[in-house]
Amino acid sequence: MTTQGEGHIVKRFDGELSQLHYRIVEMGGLALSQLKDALRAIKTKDMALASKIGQRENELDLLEVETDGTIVEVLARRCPVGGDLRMIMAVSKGVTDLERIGDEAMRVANIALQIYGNDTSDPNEHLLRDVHVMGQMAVDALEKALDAFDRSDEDAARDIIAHHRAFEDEFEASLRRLMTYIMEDSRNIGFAINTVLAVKALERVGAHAQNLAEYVVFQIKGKDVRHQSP
Amino acid sequence: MNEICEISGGSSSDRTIDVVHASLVKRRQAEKRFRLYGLLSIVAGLCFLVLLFGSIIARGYTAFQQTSIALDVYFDPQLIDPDGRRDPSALMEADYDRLLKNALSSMFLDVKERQAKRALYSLLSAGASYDLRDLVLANPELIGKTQKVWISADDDTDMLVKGQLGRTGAEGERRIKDNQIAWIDKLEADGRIKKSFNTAFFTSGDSREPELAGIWGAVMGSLFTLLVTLSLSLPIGMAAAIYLEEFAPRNRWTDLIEVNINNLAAVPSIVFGLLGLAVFINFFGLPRSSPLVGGLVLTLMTLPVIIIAGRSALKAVPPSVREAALGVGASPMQMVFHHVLPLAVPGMMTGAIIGMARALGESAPLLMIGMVAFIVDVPQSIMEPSTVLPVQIYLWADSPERAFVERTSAAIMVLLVFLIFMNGLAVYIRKRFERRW
Amino acid sequence: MKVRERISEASFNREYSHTVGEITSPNSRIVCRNVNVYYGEKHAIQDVGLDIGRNEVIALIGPSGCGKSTFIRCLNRMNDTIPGCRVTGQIVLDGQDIYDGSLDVVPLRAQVGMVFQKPNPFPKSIFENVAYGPRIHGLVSSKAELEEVVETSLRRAGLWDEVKDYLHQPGTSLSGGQQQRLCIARAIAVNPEVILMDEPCSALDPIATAKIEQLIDELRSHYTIAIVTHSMQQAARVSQRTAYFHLGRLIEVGETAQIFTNPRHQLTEDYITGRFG
Repeated sequence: MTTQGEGHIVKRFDGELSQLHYRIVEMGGLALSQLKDALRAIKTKDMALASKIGQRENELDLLEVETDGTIVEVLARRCPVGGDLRMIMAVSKGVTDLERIGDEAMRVANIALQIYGNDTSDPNEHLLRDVHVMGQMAVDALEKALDAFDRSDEDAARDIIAHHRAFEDEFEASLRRLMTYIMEDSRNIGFAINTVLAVKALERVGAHAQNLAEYVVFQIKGKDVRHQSP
Repeated sequence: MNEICEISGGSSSDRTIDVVHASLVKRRQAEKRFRLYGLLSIVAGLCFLVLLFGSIIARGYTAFQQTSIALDVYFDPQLIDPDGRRDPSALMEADYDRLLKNALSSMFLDVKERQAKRALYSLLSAGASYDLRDLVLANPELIGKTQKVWISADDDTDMLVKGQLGRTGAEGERRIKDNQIAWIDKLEADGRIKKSFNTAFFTSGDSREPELAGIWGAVMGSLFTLLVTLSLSLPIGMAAAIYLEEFAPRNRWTDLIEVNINNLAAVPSIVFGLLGLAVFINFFGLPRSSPLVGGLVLTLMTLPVIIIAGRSALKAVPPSVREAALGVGASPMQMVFHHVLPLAVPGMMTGAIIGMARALGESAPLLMIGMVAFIVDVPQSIMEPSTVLPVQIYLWADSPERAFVERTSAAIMVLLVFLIFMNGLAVYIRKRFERRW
Repeated sequence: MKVRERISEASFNREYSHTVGEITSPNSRIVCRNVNVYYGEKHAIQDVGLDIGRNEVIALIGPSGCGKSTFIRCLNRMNDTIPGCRVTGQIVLDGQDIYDGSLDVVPLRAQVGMVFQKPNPFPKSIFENVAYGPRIHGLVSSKAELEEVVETSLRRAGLWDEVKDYLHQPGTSLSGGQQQRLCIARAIAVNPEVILMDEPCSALDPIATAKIEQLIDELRSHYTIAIVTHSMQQAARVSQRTAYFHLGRLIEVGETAQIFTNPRHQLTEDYITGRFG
């Protein structure tokens, strides 16, 4: 719920706001499990799991459309201002980011299918190390961001934003490592490109998680902390 | 849902709508009864009104007619103009009574006794000789001629002709004797008796003789009195109302004044009469019985009414109009005179007219200042002694003659016409100038 | 800076502990400091300090009985007419304390016009309604000039085209929204510098309200406008600054956009989001 202790005079407004809140928590949970499943599919070479992600992606899209509809309705009927307005804006933007996270998860899953789908030799496990590390970091960031969103925890949100630099550094380091691999052995090239794409997708997930954290700050403080150099 | 069930008592058969329907019959009856009571009271009021008006009109309408007797009068030069010079002062002094008596005697030659003759002569009005005199003065040519003249009859004759005096009963107890009845019947048979419109009633002052008494003196007295009242109470009352309502600070003094004004409105009017007697007549030495003093006393009586009506009219002007005026920068006086007063004037005028109508119908305080005196002359100014309509009514109602009974009722009718006219004017002003805001 | 000289430095700079936000305006027209209003024993306005800037629309919002109407009525001394009403503190317009004993309220009210909650045209013709102010203040010297003033005022109030053929009809025959615009025309006919509006749209339908709001926006270039409103959306739509009153205190004042997206005081937030229990 929002920061205020007492509810609105119009009880139904409270209901609508908490409905929106649960929606985004639900979407967040779904996106998170998609991401986790995609990463597990790569790790365990589980093709069935990877293909299931594609089907569940639709669910996430549907939730986004539904939530957007609710948001438009609340805007039209309640003319929210102040904290209510900021909360709805945060939800509205958060929904988009979560949907994108879902997309990225699917992308990772597709890469898993490509890597293991071809009958060529098993890939070099070393190459996938970066995917696992980045994946874990992305999952951590997303979990924290969702938690901050759920609890409207500004400190947690600021923590995520502060740690994003480390995440970006890790991404650049992994790119350099993959580059080295490519230069060492040109046979790895196709595999390495897939890995780069997966890492890039995970980097996007981290960025979306950071966005979520920024929305939390906006919702609480009314300050836009996007696009600021740390 | 739960709450609705609880309200209706929980069971499904006791739906609110059923309970309402059950109580509806009772409510409708109560409503009908209430309307019936209202209708009944209106009907009762109307009955009393009709009774009052009916009895007054029934008793009074005959007063607007006067019986007169046609006599062949010989304008004997010996009697009225022995010198033959047609000198007006001589003509004024002449004995016109004699002419009438001669004319009557010549018609009833068999009446010889003194007492019978006097009875015969008393058929005519005591003022008939003045009518003859006026006739001769206006037209001296008549002298020496015989002419048929309509002479107004005495009130007893008048009453007999109008059928208001009984012909039966013991002669000694009757105002009119058998022989007189016989003479009147003879005159009537000869076509020498007629009833005509009673102009004297509207044009002359009071008199001891009913057939000569009129209300003109009282009407003029009322008019002068009201003139004084109006010209004093309207400006003073309106100024007081405006000051108290719009400008006076609200404090203990103004509260005290307000309470006193309300009290004054309820003070018995006779107290104002006593006050007028003590102050205006005894202290200031103003002429007793004059419309000036009457008007002053009625002013005292009417002022509270006008002030109270004026204040409530001012109070009824919505504050939004005042705010609007002040908001564009009108001074308080501009606000009052440009905006508040035009809206309040119809109400104030209505109050003033109703106050005036009350003053017109007032008699008690005027008794105290001597307006009850018997005054024959029609007043010509506010300083001359006079009486007013209600007091005239009071005086006539006190007189023993039968003919004054119908004159009393007639005077009441005249007074009522004035009152209806004034109240009608009040209604008209209210309707005509009432504004929407 | 002349204004600041008249108000003691101490009181100008003093902290208004219960007010959040910037009470001063860079281009002040009216400067209020330490304003207290009492209705008999009741302390209706408590220690309010607020500037009203030139060519700005300031909206005063707050729950019923919070003193916003009382405050706005102090600005042209309409409270004088209420018995038992006492005002302390300084309200300075053009370097002159309007509660100074020597000040005449008549020119003040010509300078600070007012539009009321209920449309209250005089029960006279449309022309007379507008002409009344200029006439009593002697602003015009001829009939032609008066007609010109009436036309300009009605045009500015956006009413001319609707009433130009009915100038001699009673003002009360107009619709509610037209009546309110007539009242605005009446107020601007005396060419005031400040216009106070006390819930001008509370009796009007949305279309008439929109017309008045458009009018307020147009009038802003000529006048300083203070508007009391119960509709927060209206405050958000028409004003540049918004002041929130609560129980006789000025709780928060700031840019309208800030007040409605990110109020700083919890009471303001609770009020604008509809959380008052």
